[in-house]
Amino acid sequence: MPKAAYAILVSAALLVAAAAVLPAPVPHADRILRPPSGSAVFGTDALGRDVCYRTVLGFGYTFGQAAIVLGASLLIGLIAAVISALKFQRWPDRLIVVFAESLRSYPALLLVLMFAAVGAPPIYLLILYFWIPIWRSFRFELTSQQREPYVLWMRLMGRSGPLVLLTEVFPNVLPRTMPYVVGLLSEVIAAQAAIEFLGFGPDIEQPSLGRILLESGQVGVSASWVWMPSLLVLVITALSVTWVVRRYRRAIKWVPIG
Amino acid sequence: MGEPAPQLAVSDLVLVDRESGRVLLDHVSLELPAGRHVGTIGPSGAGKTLLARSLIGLLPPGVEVKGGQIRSPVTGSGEDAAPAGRRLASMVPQTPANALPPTVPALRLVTDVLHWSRGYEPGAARATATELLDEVGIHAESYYKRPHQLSGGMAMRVAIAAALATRPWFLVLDEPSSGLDPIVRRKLADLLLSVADQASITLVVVTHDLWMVNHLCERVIAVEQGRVAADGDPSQLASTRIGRIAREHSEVARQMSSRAAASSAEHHDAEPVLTFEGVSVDYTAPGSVRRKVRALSDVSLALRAGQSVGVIGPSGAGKSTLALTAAGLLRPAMGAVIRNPTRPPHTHGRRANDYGVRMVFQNPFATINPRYTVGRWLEKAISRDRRDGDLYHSVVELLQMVDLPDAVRHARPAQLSGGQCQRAVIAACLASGADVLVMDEPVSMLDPVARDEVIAVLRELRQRQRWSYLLVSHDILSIMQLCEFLVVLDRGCVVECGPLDRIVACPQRDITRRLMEAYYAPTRHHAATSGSHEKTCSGDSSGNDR
Repeated sequence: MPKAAYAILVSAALLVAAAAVLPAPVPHADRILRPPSGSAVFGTDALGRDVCYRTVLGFGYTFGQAAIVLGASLLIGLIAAVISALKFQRWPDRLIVVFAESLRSYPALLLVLMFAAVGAPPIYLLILYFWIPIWRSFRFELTSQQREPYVLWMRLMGRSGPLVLLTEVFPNVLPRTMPYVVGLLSEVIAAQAAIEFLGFGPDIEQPSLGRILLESGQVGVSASWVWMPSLLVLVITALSVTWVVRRYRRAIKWVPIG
Repeated sequence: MGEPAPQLAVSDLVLVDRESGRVLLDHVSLELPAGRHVGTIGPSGAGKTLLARSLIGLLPPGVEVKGGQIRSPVTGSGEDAAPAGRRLASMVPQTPANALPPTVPALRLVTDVLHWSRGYEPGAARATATELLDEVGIHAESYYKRPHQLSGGMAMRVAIAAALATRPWFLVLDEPSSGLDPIVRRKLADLLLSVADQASITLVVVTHDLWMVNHLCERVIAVEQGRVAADGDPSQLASTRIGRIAREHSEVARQMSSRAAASSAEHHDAEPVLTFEGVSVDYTAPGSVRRKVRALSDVSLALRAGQSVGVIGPSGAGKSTLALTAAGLLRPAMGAVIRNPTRPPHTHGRRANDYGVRMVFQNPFATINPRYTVGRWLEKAISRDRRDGDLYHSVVELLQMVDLPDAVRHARPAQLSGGQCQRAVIAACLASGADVLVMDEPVSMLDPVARDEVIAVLRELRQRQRWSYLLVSHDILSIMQLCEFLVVLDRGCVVECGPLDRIVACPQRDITRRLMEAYYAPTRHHAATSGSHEKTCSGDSSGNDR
């Protein structure tokens, strides 16, 4: 992968770390809604807080939450896909299919409201939602590869199904499926921001991209310096993820072993 | 005809792969005037299909014209345009079932082609479409079938009908006989000749099948490494390597058909290594959870150590099911398959479920894990009791045993030819201590040269290793070269079974007789020069042009 792709990943990680350790911006009553200037590069918001600082922390928080969601979804999706592949079209696979399909049939907004009603953190909802496409993608790849002659050949040598799946099939499937999983990151970030925008999510003190957009609604469209940076960050993040995925797809080749 | 006959032409054409820069066609100049059926033959990857596609201006994506010119009118770069009322060319791809629109029934497909390409009104298009489908042997009961509901031969016929609907001057057929049994192949060849003669269509056949070329074509172009190696009528190819192979094949078939049934008894005392006892295998019917379709019915047979049994039968007879069941990859619904009782698992360095049965699949490229080099894959295949020695030298030794150079160790499957890849698979069978090789069409994807190399290796190793073969194939010649017993399957049942030379010389069942007749049928050129010969149970046969 090119150095720029690594630079993007490292920058994102640094911003996440910064959001975790830096203190939240302090309100200043004497500099409310000031446009961009030398003292505040992106201006200040309705409470006099530095928009630039808040955007950086907001991105770090939202991105970090999205990364956690994606990681947990990947883990659950992978485990479910391995079970599905090993017991394809038998009851464990059918059970997962029925659960996943019925969950997906509920409108997302309804689930958000249900989660909010019971006070569950929205991150659980996102995990519950995003393991399904990952499971579906891995399940398709794993089951279609299991009929390939190289897999049947290894089974004829007396190797067990799970062993062949993990040592022969999985390494072939992973590079093909990971770009899709990484590509989901922008979708997860957008979903996370949308939930924050609806008012669910972090404490009121914690800056996040969705909350910044929510609060900027109170100051109106004319104070564009308040909402524009967060919106731009969301768009740039989506474009960056797409670009990294494209580069990754181009870069992956079969790495010869031995 | 009344219309001026066009020609397909390329001059000094150089085609390269855009990504790797590899030269695919190297300064090829060729003119194909309408009127003489043409066959292109040559090794896999030589550029046969690409040459045919470039002649009709249908270059695949990623291929770039680096030099020369495509002069066929269809590209618009020629001096004369395609004559009005007829398309210059149509193409039937190698696997038509995949190329046909998946949701469109046969009749609608041909009707649509007539409507869109020739401006027929719906009623007239439908009437002409039914005529065309009847002409290619697709009758009313199959009009509304979609591609997945058609057999390989039927899908090919529908694709041919759709191609004929455009009324082309040239019809390009890419491996038309691939996967077809001898009976269907013969019917298809006769059908192609008949429709081509009726509609004044020139056939351009891209194939490995020397019988098809001899039967259909008046001109043969041999392509090797992106260059035209020979160009002339089929008899002029006698001096080329493929011509020599064709002669050898013809000789093998002729000898087999006239040989007395005497040489087959030598393995009768050996212990059985694979036994089918009343085996039946069911598949779940498409679109149903509970309904079963019986693919094999009450099959009993025994394969003894050192013995080779060939399995033939029409498409859909259950041959591949038999192979998969023999290997243990399908579980019988009834009966039992006993594998290698004298050398059970846990002995000879084998794992708990390893019965010493290996399978050689049709597609050698898919048999080797694409992530591995051949050397690494062979190291993984080496059985536990042979792992004490130096793995490097073991791999080199294995490669030598199948006539592969040491350099193949570092290659991945995609970097090898089909023949090399299949020999690497055979080396893996050696490495893993196989006793029985179940082979499902092991040479059908290979060109004649690679095919003969693989057959030679299998024959030599059989002698040396005392391997037993169960060979499933439409290619009766490879069965003749490798086996001494023959099983004929039809609709999941064994209909005939016995020494190969006896069955070849004197088939008892109708289906066997039809398969043999289709296989031994003279090509039209041979029939024209020497007259047709009927094969009789006395063992006389002639006319095989392989």
